[in-house]
Amino acid sequence: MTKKRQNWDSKLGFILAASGSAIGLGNIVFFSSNAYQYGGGAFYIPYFLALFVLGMPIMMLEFGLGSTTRKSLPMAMREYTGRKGEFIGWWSVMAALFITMYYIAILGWAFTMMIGSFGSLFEPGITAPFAPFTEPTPEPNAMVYFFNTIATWQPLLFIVLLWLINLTILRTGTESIEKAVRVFVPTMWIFMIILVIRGLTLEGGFDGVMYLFTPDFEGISDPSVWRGAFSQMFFSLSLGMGTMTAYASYLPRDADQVNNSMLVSFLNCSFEFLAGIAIFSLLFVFALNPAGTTLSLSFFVIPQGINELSSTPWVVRLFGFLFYLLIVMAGITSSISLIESPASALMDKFKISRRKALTYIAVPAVIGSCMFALPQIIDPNLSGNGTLGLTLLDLTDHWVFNYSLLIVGFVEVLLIGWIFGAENLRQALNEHAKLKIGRWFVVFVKYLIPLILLVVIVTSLMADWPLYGSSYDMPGYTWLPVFIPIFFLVVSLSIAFMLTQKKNRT
Amino acid sequence: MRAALSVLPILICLMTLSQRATGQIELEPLKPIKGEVVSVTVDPPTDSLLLIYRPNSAVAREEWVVSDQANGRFNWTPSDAGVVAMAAGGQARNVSVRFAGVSTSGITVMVLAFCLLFGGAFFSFRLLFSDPESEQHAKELDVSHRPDT
Repeated sequence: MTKKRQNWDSKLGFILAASGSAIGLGNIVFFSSNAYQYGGGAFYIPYFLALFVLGMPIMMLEFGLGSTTRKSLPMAMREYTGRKGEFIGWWSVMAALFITMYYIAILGWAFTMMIGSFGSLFEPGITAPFAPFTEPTPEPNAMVYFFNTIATWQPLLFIVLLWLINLTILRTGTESIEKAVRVFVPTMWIFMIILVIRGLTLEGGFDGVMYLFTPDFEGISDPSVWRGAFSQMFFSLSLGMGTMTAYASYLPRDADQVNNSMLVSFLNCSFEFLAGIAIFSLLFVFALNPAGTTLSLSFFVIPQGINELSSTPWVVRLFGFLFYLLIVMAGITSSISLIESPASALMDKFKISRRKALTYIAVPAVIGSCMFALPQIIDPNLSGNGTLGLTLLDLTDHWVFNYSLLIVGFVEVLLIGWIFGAENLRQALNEHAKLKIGRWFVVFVKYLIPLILLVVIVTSLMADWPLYGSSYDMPGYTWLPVFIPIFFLVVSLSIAFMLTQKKNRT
Repeated sequence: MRAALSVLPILICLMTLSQRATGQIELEPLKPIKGEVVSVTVDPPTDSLLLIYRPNSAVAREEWVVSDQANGRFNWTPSDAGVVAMAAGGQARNVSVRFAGVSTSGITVMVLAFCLLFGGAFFSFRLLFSDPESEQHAKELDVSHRPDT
């Protein structure tokens, strides 16, 4: 039986869902960190170039694929480019599934910190089960609290809870997704504005903002800055994971995907702009270094700043709670899209019910999420150096996120540009666009974007030599940096191949 | 969406060191301003002070200050605003140097970025809802379309 496809209830619902998908954990701290490291305001030059040259055109392509075929990424790619396109689509969906596993594990930790805001997160006397943190701290210490709490069973409970929340939001598809994002996304913006106001009203907070935006052009002469800006834009907009195509497939065929792409991209980057102000003002006032990664900034550095916000404990607790609630909400609006991508692909290919598709995804993925949290729980001493479990997560994130998405993007753009035809896609997009795209789009999709992505991939591989993680001190686990990329490649490519070979059900 | 992680062993090591060392370097005034002299006291006294402007960044810049006094006191005039890492004799701390006035280039970049991003979003929002009929049309399409649940 052929079933009619779902539709978003409104344009706003789709925009909220797609921008919620793009705005995730990384948007809150990752942009600030990059801007700090690469010359403040000067970083905006490669950043904007990446937005207009790479981000928006690929988003137009992915939205266009979804709305013109009304199919998820693998099936849309099959319709336009044949089996090889479907294979790359399934690989992208598999990458999304791997990312979901550890993404929700991180969200579980954020949830634990959120609850801890009203517990002992902002209190002294914290210990963690390994040296040098076995003695109670004289002052509140978020990092020690984090290592203490991830060694308990609490995060595991929250991981299961977060999976239940995700599955509940996805249970009726666009209808329930739209209901959730109508609450979550505006709340995220309100919380971020509250954090901006608090940061700016601190003594010296505005100096932090000027520090963020004052350009130091020395930084942008470094080629790694450009590579960083282009890859960040790709990840920041959630490209190459099939999420945008899945969401766009629930739009009517006459949707204006040119404007939708512009709007979602601008909203995503505007949120990063505000987050940069909030983070820089806070960290500058308390002389905390904004250079770091999502995990270290979110769980160690920013709570230190929040702890200094006020001498009134409940104000500190409230801001701590709001910050982690913001992270959890941003994470959920992204994780639902990550799960929707494989769910819609399974429904499209095998014509199974949503409930069945979600079950096929949830069973292995919940186990996977728990596997990422378990090393810290089973071995609280974390094999002596305090990091083995987290290194596992780091290595997986590095290979799955950094490479598979860029490679998917590269192949996707090549197939659409050269097999389906960039000009055909341009005409399809322009048919319902209020703002028509010019022939530059064809040049970008066929030549410029593949070239940029190829350079980013090759230079990243060169920067990763010798093998990423091989210098880590992991006695007995030195095989891990080799095993992780091989395991991911073998599993994801095999499943992608198997799914491509299966016959479509009609 | 990015969920990048870190090279945690190094991070833990650095944070532990900074925790142990904080508070051993004193400043007067506590909140230095670019271009104004700051008196730095290191305990126990040393004869040189390392300053790193924008530490852990691609544009980090080092500066050494040598003491001309015997008691571990230094006179330092910050040449740039921003986060500065200070290290001397095994002690370390960070300090934020404030701007002497308003950073014109900073404000310009902020205003330009704000106009481009929020202006772009506003423009696209207006374009999205510029045709109310199509919004209605989209809704009409939906009514019976919830079958694959």
